[in-house]
Amino acid sequence: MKRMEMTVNEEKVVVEVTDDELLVYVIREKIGLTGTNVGCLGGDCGACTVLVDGLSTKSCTVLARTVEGAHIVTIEGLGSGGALDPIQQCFIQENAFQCGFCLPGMLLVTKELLQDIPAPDDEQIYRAIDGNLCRCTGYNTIISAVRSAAARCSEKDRPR
Amino acid sequence: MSYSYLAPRDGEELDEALRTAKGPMTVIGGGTVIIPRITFGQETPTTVLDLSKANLDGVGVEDGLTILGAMTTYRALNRFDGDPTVARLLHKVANVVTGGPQIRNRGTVGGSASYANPGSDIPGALTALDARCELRSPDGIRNVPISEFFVGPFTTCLHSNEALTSIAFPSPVAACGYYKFKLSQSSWPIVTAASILKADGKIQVAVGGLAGVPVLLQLDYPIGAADPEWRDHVRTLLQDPLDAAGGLWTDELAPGTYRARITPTIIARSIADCLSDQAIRPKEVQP
Repeated sequence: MKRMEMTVNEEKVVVEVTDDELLVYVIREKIGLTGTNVGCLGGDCGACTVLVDGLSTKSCTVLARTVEGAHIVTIEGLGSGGALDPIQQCFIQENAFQCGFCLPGMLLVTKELLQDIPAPDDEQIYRAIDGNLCRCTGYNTIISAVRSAAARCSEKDRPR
Repeated sequence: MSYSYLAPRDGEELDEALRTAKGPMTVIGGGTVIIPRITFGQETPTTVLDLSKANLDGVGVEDGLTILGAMTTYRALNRFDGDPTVARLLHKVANVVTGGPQIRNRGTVGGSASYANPGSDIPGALTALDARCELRSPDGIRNVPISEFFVGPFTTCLHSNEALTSIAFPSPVAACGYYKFKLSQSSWPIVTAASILKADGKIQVAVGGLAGVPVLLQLDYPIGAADPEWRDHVRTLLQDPLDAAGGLWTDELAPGTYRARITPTIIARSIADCLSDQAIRPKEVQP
């Protein structure tokens, strides 16, 4: 076992991991943040997406040892309970999920997109979510939610 | 699934790791393909050598050559501002890599090249650009032209104690184009075509997915690129390099005969993209 440190949702975390442990399992089973889902384990579905040093990452394709010292943001770090991120609020308003399994990944890639491109066009939105599979919505409401989130973020940042 | 993990932080540590690794070793770049393969038992290494901390992600210019670190990610390619002619093709390729931003954030040029999937975007693009690969082992460094790097489907000339550390691009190009065909948004490409317009007006096209390794062909200036006679001409030109590449590639996504049938059209579209690439083409080679 190797003792390693990383920052998860702004908190320092020390965990003991084996060389072959996937980041997704460390997050869920050793840190206890089960909002990060285990889906395909093949890097296809995007349900295990987290942000690693600000960049969206499929945590089933990364060894925990690889991200030693990194800053990780999981869905719990985006917002929960009564303190939802505007992106989460837009997904609720637009009915952009049903079963919710893809939702953590969809929300985190949207967060990354709006940090990179505050006012994305539709092509940029499609590209931002093209690593995340949803089997409920048909994607249209997700795209609407991302548009709404972009509009809300740019409204918030507009000089008054 | 149990293996030891090594993450060298510089060239010396990399040499040491390559020299001392026990048993079958798997080198990972971003890990986006290899880690799932290990998870599913398709690879069973005794040692995993992670290059992500080895400072192999820089881009620079040495002796007129643009040098790309093997750990350069697709995301970094989109921000790469080295040789604009090389960068333009790499931008085009990186922009259309399948798998979402998560894969573009972690997937690397060196990782994709070393995996040598016939349908990947990177092998064809590197072939079109006449890239040279720097391979490092405890025995030293050797430089290999890209035409010798890929030796078969999922097979490169890398020795078991060797890693791809950087890729050099020797010659400037006047314009470039890229087109690929895939069955769905999340599919691996079926056929890719990376086109380069050289300063002498000749066009070089590297076709991926058609054979086990990229197929390279040279074309005269392609007037009427989309017409049936030109497509027959391309089929004829392809025959020898295709034979040399080991013949048609077939996998679960498409038979080789299908790939062969669509290849001239994919090449034509790539060339059309290349010829519309006015942003970097100097006036003297414009048609």
